[in-house]
Amino acid sequence: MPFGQWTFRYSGYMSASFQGSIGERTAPVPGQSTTVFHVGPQTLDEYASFVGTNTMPGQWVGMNFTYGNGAVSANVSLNTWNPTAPTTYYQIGGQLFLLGAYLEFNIPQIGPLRPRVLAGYLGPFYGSLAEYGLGMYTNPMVGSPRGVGELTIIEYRLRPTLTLFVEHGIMGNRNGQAPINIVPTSWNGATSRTFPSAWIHHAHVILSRTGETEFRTGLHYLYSWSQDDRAQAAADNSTTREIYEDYIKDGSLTVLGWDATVRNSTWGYFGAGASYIQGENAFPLKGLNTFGGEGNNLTDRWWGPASGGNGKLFALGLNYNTSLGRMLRPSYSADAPDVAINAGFVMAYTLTNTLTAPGTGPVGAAPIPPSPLPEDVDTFNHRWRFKAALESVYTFRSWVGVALRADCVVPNSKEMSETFWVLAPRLVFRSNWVTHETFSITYGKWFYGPTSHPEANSIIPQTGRLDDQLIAFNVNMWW
Amino acid sequence: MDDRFNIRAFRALVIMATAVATLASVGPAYGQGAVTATPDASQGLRFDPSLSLDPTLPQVGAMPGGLTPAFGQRSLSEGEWRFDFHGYILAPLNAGINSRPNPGFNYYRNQPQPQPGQSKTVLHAPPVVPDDLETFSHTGVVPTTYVQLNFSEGNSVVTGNVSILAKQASVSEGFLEPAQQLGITDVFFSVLPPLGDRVHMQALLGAFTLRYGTAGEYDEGRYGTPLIARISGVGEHVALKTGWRKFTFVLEEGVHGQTNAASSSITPDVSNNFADAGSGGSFVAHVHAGVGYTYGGTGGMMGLHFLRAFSQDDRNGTSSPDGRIDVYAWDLRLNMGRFGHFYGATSYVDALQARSVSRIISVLNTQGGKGLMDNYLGPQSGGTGQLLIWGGQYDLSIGRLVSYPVPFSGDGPDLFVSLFCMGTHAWSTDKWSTYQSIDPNSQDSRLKFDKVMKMKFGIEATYSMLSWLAASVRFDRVDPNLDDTRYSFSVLSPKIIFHTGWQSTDQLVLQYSHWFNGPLTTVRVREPPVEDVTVVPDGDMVSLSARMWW
Repeated sequence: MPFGQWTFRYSGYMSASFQGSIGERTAPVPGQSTTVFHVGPQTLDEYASFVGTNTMPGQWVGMNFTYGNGAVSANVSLNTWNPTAPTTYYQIGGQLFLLGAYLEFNIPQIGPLRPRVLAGYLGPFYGSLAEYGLGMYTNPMVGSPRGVGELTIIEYRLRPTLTLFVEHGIMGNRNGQAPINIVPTSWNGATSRTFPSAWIHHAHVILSRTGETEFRTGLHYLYSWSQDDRAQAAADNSTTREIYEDYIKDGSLTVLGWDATVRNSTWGYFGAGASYIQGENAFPLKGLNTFGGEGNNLTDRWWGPASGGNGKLFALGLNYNTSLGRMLRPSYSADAPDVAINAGFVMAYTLTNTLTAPGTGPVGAAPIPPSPLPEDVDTFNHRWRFKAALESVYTFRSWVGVALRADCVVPNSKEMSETFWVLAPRLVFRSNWVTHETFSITYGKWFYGPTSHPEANSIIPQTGRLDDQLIAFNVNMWW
Repeated sequence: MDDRFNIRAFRALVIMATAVATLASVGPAYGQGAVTATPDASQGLRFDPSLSLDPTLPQVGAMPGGLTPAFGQRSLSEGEWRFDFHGYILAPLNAGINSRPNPGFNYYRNQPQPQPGQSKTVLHAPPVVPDDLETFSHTGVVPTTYVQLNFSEGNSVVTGNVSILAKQASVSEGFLEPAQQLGITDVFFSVLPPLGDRVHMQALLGAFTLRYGTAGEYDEGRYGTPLIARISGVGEHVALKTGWRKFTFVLEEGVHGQTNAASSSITPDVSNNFADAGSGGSFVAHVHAGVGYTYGGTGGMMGLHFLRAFSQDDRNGTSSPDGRIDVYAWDLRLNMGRFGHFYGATSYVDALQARSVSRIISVLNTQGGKGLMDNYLGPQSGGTGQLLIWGGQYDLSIGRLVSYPVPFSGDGPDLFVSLFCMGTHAWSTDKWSTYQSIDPNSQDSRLKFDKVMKMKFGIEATYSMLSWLAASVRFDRVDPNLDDTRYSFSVLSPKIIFHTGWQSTDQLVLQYSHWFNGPLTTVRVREPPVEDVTVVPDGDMVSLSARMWW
């Protein structure tokens, strides 16, 4: 934004997909076809879980409105992942409406320091491994604190090409603890009254070097915790293994992370990141989205329901994007045929503990200390997970290109039969070599292992079978 | 019945007499202006008084420091079509601070609290304090989320307006509250036909909100509560203004209805903002008359108001009687130049079987007839009762006062002081009602509605010392029942305000508030919110809020 001049700016992104999966009916009767089509797709591509590969293009619309000048600006965004017109039923949670609303203050330089403050509803990402996004996979390698609060960024130029950034933020929920008498339903994301108001404190040190080869590396600390007395109930609900509702401890999540990116105009963009996540009674914590998700996802998918959110997660990711045109032709122009290569790799390891149970004896009885699960029962402790992807996009005309993506996912080192592969060729159309939109047609084929399964139940069809083929038409545009 | 009519008539006479007496007593204030005005009609219209707030203004309380949102300028010619985008953001991080055990929240399981792994100090978001918008205890001390985007396209004659509103931002939700994402809220167009210099007319057609009795000069005042009523519906509103010498005459009328009504098969919950099948389709008809007077740079406006909200719908139960809410009111607004701005109003609300009147009308931020019952008339009243409301606000810029006769532009240090108060007296057929969550045999469990007088007042002073820094302190006292001070409380709220310039349109506010609660100071918890005296309210709150308007 120019100083002294009030400016209105509108930017956005939209991705709209027709996507359906193809499967087979196990026992068709007369009048029923063997082949079935499912919308939404019943493939093993659950968003934000480790078994998700980002092969399905998905839906998202984001409209960003900014008004301000060089000193201050107001930023508001309208978002949805489920536009209303094509829905068969109104899914309230799919309309995110006003997702973010914050002010950005550019404070005048104080000596060598250039401070900047963002205040309001924010959701910054840390650990993005690609130049314009999170990389081949969609989980942030370090984390994303989401809430209302402040983020202060101080920039200190060490040398003309070397800059140090120090960031610090405090955040909380706006509506905090879910109402005591809330009924978990689909519209509220199965929210439980056991989710307390949670808080996030985070700090980051980032070093950036500019030049022909740009380098950036950062160390990250994020801490989320709760100390709320409203969530505790009179009695335990024995069906929720993740928490004792009548004895809710203060929870905490600690994330220590590192990331580094290198950008070279010839060799492309390389990103690497790692994080260490430690949870203590973290099941009900909402707000801090780690590599493994929020507290409930970390508990159910990474440490096991019996852990109650007590465990450790180590994650490492690599991502690389390059263009053969840039590598092989010194005078490369983007207005020409090119082959783009994208590759990604993620690995993770978990250690778990079990939850402390409340005392059951007379008044004042001590809580029952945790007893670890037997090794043959505990499928989460000491478990490795890997996945890797390779994609190549050949653009041979200004208006068309072809792409091929392959993924290998190893969700469980203790059960290798869960391993599966995905192969997805794609046709990509656009209006010019360098443009703001694409239209793509994707075919995806999943090669499942004997025991491949989703992490959550939401995409398991009634037949219990997963579809193995996908057809998707996607349009997307950014401005 | 005759007695009741006589009592009502007597009260109405008292209100009118009070209005006349007040107007007479403030008359000399006009004489304090030093500038001689040209006595013509157009001069009178330059003051451009209004009896209601522009529908596009945010529905929030006043900002600290006497700042007021100034929105986009209209197109000046019929041939010039102009797109306009303006809005308002208020994004607060609030943390209420309390300690375990809290009898209202902890279920002891026969165990002492806190247990191992639980801290003694607890942090609440949102704060558990007596500041629910619908209750009389609301002071507006706790900043709450509000985002409004206004889009308009038009020329000097006709303008189409659409607004998008949210009282919750999805990124910070602990759980999804769809009803707080209001989405497209106002859809209307305004018509300003060119009728010459002597008569101004504005017609609003569509779905929009009108507010009468707003204590601030350009906003809803320190309490964020219109003293007369808020009308939210679809319909029409016409305002006519004309002038004679230094006088301006204003006449307004409007008719509004609603676009849907909850059926008995709907399940009230958070997702539909607790749809009320007991309310029928409701309508509001209202008329207003005002006379304004200008003298130099000062002016005043007195208004008389009558609103009737009513429902005669057979869908909300065969035994449900038709209901109505009548509002009679007067108000006075004085713009006294360097001596500041004053607003005062008195309103008399007469409700008859108003349970069936929907949220189309909001008296003191309550929702329709049911809201009046829950907060002022009592759940056993059936929506029958009367409510007398009075209140006012006085704002003064010391910088402007002491710099006279040199004009004060605001580009310098200033001390801005605001005094405000509000009171109610209710007459209800509900003599006593009982709290849900405490022992009904206890005297403390009974809540009185009939002949209850409520009172609150406050003062706020803001010292702008630097172009980027100001300090403010606000004190509030609230007596939800003047006959029983155990429910009373006070709030002290110091603030530090950062902004980018003397007259910038942004604020970053760091606030601490301390509540001095009485033994029965009551907060609302659960969904839908209900009062629970067993909950010990938070005594302290820390808040960091960002706001901007354009």
